[in-house]
Amino acid sequence: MTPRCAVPALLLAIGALLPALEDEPAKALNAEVHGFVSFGHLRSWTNDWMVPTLDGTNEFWEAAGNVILRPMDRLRLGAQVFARDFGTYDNGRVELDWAYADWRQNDAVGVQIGRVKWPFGLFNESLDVDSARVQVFLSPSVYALRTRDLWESIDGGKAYGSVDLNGPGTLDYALFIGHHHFSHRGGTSQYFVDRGLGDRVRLEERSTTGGMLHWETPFDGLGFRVTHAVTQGLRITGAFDNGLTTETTFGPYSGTVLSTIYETAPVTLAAEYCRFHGTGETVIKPLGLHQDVQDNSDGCYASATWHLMPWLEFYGALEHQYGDTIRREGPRLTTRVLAVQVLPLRNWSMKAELRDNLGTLTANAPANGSLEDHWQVLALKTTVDF
Amino acid sequence: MRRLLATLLVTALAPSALQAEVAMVHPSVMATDLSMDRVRDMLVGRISTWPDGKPVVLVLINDHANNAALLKVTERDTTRLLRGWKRLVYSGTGAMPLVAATPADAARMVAERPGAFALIEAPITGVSCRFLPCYHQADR
Repeated sequence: MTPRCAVPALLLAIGALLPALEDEPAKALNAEVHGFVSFGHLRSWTNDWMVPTLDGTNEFWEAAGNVILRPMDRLRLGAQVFARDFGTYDNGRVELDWAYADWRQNDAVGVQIGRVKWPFGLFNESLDVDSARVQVFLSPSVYALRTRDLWESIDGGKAYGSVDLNGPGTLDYALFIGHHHFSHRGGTSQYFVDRGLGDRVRLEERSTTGGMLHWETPFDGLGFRVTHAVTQGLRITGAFDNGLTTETTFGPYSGTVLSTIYETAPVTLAAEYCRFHGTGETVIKPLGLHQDVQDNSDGCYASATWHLMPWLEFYGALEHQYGDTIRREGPRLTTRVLAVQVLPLRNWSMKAELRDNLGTLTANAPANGSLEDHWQVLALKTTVDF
Repeated sequence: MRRLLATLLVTALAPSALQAEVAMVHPSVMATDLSMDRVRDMLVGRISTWPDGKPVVLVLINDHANNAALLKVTERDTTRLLRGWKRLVYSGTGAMPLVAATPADAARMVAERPGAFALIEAPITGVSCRFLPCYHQADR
């Protein structure tokens, strides 16, 4: 079965499960089944954006289905399968997105083990959940679009909770440890293929650890968050068809996000700053060539969401990202974003997003053309969830 | 008249909660009152269990009056609240709230599910649920 056939089949299977939820065993387990499917169209002018977009592409969709069980007090079990197509990335590959056992002792202490999502910034855990936001894309200056498998979930555990500070607000926290489950067909592998590390690459890592602190202030709706994560022992092994191989090893590779959000009835304001740092070395065999590699990128955005009606919302943002934070030279990108979302039904959204770009970071030159500094992207998307 | 009496009963339990929303809960819920902060945290999904470990089963009432109550407490209408819950459900950190069309439907759902909770603008009578006053921390 090809991945493209597997996804609809999977959703049909999940749909078939729904009537079973009326059965007594399902009721005893407090079983819930949910899912969503999104279809979109992506088009750019002047430059390609991340993937081939100049001629427009419909290779832009996501689908997920999950089951959540609550067999006893404090215990929750759940699993979700997910597939997406983002141009040349992921191509409908079905993966186990998360699968966990969650024990919530009380408000302050909860533990999750299995394949767990981990927080990175305000929205990383809902990176794929189109129906949870107004705009089509979370800001790519902070949230990875192509390398989602590097940021989404880890095999390991997470401790989390919420502590009432009795006056100065509430403090939410999460601590996580685990390692990634890279597929050679995943987005991160494809990313390094595109970066020339091989015609095929394999990724390994020793561990990913980190934590998140979120202070929900006594001032209604205002929150601040800091997230930090470190990946240890990241190694990328590449092979070319001509027999050459590459081996890239990184030292500690870290990411830090500072975030703030202010939610009121008519407007939500958010701003985040993200910084990545990692250094390593690539060895090309059998030539014995060595090349230093580093990631010193950063990015930020400020956004406003206007909740005009329950069925009509607008989003505007200014995003900025640098390829080299230290020297402040090389590729950069400033993007002005406008988006609108219409909800014909509560579980059906339609949205459009226009991205006006200045700079060439994340841009690809068209065939027989050169990179231009000023270019645009239009994204259209519709999502149904249940 | 019965509705008025029920309202008086609740406000007598918590004088500072005059004109305030109340929490409709399953009879198994042990609490005697709830702070507005806790109510808001349960509505937005930050708190998902009662002190005795029972999961909070959230029931949202999608009518005009109760939408206004939700907006007042959380600064979000039902649509935005549910969007926040989708974020939790699809990232594996929560279970989706139930949505009732009327307070009576909500009362039936709450009565059937241990740990169930609904924010309601005023108590209703003739249902097998408990009504807890909601207070502001500053009033204590």
